[in-house]
This record gives sequence, structure tokens and C-alpha cells, in this order.
Amino acid sequence: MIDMATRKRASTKLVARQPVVPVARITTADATASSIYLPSTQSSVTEGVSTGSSLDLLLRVSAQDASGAFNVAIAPTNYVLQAIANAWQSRHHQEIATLVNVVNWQHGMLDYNARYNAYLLEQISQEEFESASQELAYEPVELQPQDLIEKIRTVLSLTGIDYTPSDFASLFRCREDVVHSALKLMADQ
Amino acid sequence: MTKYTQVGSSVEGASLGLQTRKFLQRPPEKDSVLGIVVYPFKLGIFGLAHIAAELAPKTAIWSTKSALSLGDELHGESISGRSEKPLSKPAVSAATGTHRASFITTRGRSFAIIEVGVRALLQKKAISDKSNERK
Repeated sequence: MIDMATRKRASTKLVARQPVVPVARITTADATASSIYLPSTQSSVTEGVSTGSSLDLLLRVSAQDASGAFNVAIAPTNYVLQAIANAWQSRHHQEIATLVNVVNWQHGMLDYNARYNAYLLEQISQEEFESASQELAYEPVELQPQDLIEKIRTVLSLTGIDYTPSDFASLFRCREDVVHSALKLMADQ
Repeated sequence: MTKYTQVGSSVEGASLGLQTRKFLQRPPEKDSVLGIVVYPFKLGIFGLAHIAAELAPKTAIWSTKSALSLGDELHGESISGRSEKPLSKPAVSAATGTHRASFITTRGRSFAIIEVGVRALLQKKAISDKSNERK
């Protein structure tokens, strides 16, 4: 536990400019299992600005070496959460975008095949089906094989489905030869 | 009249006869070669595609390796293709002694090619590279 006097000092002075600000180094002689007292001489924690009346901090206690000393660091909770969110987003952003693409593609396929079924069941005429089909027609985009490599890898690893080259051409709305070129580059790597 | 089973083999004709037990239509796309909307499709579970009507003149536009003669046919686990017109209604009838299948005749210039899953393609390339290393 941190004594109230120290906590009060921290509440008015602590908000780190850096993600984590070291505030103290305590030896095992200073700490017991039930209480850890921050030393009163904590000049390093006086840096930074106050967030005002709302105080929300994370305290980290770690033992980084065999000397038995503790390192204590403190940081604003929202700063830490934001850093975690940013790291997660940068790692998964591409995966999410690719999966959204897959979902939209599948949705379009279901929609189109539903129209075809309606035609097969004679709920709409051939002319109506062809007219509706024309509305869904798209123009293939010009992509470079290098643009597809990571996307293909992501789809294969996340879905586990063994798509064919024509599936990928339909998914990414590109020409099939571009998919083949991308696969060749993947195989060569 | 030749039967092709190798991955990458293709046929092109004024009309193709298709046979399959698993049939998937894909949304139409504007074809970069023809400049018109074409209708892609995919056949699964041992699809078959044969040339029901030859092109006149017999000139391939989607793949220079395409077979073009009447009766030339593809047999494959997975066949993809496209046609100038949407596929019409399939006729379901006996395909083998034990199975029935959908039979469809495409309308307009049509193309079909045997393909396999990407994993098999990548593996095949890896195996091919390995066997080349041994030589």
C-alpha cells in the first residue's frame, strides 16, 4: 500500500509526459509483502503536468534484477490504454480490412445467386434477371501482384479456406492473371 | 475431340456444355478484353466443360493455349469460366449410374479453365522447385 501522504503528493504532481515514469527504486529491506512505501525523496515524479481533479493512474512494480530491488513506475491509465489500442490496431487493421472485404464479397455472391435462384424458380423473367445482373456488374481494378500477396496470405491464414485463383480474382475484383503472378511471387519467397 | 485434365487447361467456344453437381454463379464483371459485361461461373465436384459450338473464326481471346475444336472437353475437380450471356436454367438428369447432375449450355462466347486451390498450387511450385534442386 502507498501511504496517503505520498498518494496526495502524487495526485497533485503526477502525470507523465512519457508512457511510464519511474518513481522509485525500493529494496526488499524497504518493502514487505503487505506494504510498499514510496520513499519521500521522489524528485523525479514532480515532472509533468496535472490532469486536474480527475486522477487515474497505473502503478507498475517490477523486479528486474536479482538484487532484490523493486522498480516502481507510474503512468496515466488512459495513456497506457491508448498505447495498447494503437499497437493492437496497427497489428490487426489490415486483417480486419481484408476480412470485411471477404464478408462484402460473400454478401454480393449470396445476393447474386439469390437472384439467379429467383430466375430458376420463375419468380422473375430472364430479362429481369439480366437487367438486375447488369446492375451488379463491376469493372476489374488494376492491381499489382505485390499488392495482393499480404492480402492472400491473410485470407488463407484467417479463414483456412482453400480458395482458388478465380475466387481471389473475384474477391479482390482484379484480373486472374494478376492473382497468378502474386501466387508465383509467394511461391518464390 | 480431346479430353484435358491438367490444371490450367482451358477451352473456348461460341457455346460450352457444362456438367456439374456443384454450381456457383459469380456477379458479372466488365471484361477487359471484350469490353462488355461477362458472367463468371464456377463448377465444383468433378465438373465437365466441352465445346458445344466452335468459334468462327477459331481464335482464342482469353488464353492462347485454349482448345478450340468441337467436342474438346475439360474434366476437373474445379472449373471456372465466363460467358457472354447469363447462364440459362440447368437441366437435371442422370450423369453416371448413381448420380444426377446439372447440365447447362452457355450462350455466347464462353471460356472455361481447370483450376485447383491456392494451397495446392503453392505446394506444387515448392515441390517442383525441390525436384529441380536435386537435378
